[in-house]
Amino acid sequence: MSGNHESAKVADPTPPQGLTQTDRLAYSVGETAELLGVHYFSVYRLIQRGKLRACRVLRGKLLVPRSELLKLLKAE
Amino acid sequence: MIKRKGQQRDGVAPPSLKRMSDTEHAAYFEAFAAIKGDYQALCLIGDKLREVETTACGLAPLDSQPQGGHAELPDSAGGRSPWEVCASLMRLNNNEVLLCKRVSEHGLEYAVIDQASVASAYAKANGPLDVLRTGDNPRQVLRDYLRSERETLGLMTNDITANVRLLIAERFPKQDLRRVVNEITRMCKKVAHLGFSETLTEFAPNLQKQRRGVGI
Repeated sequence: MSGNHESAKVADPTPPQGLTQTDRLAYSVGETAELLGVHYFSVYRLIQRGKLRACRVLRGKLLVPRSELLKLLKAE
Repeated sequence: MIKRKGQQRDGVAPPSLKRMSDTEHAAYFEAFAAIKGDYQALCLIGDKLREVETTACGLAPLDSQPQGGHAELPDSAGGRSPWEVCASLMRLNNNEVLLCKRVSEHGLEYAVIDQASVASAYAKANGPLDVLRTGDNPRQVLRDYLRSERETLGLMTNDITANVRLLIAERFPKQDLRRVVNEITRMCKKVAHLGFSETLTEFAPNLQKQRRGVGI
């Protein structure tokens, strides 16, 4: 649990390929979690805390705009 | 009937959906199959948060904290002392939520930290540590953390039920299946709520053990 976190921080902010090579405008929470490499409960947490903006569309389903995902990954 | 953890009991309708039509029956099982993984995750997270709540009730007195020998997490802001891991609260695939402490200029500081895998895209851009809550009172830090996790569970539940509504509207257009949607919504909300409902009374016999076992 300890050790190399500091050295890994902000090592390579290149967004994952799935995010750059696509014309998708938004992603579900599950897809967002996959792109970020985190558990999807962490994505809900990021949304809840206002660190990641999401929109409610289609009967209340949450979608994360691609631009917001790029902003979080500091790739904009 | 869908039992907790998502196992199906074949051919048995949920109690509130007795005398359901064939369409309702089909919609119920199709919708539940689609969200089964999410429902199981909801159960799992609810259970883990209940464990955290039990831990929060049974924290050892601060003067009996064990010293040394714990893993450390460097502060990403730099220049401040690293976090010492007191306990792992929850592990979900690549993420682990940890209760940590460190010595600050005002005394001991506690934090609940979500640690992501260093290999993840999120960690590469933001660092692997996401400090969720901090404070000088560990019980209060855990209480605040649990309150915010409860809200996050609510958000997750709403998203799952939105997926159910969407799926039913697509697969069974122009049919009134509100009873099915309501039943699945009720089940998800119950599971999400269960993580916190029977806290002190159910776990009271274990508190003594927890008090001795968990030290921060």
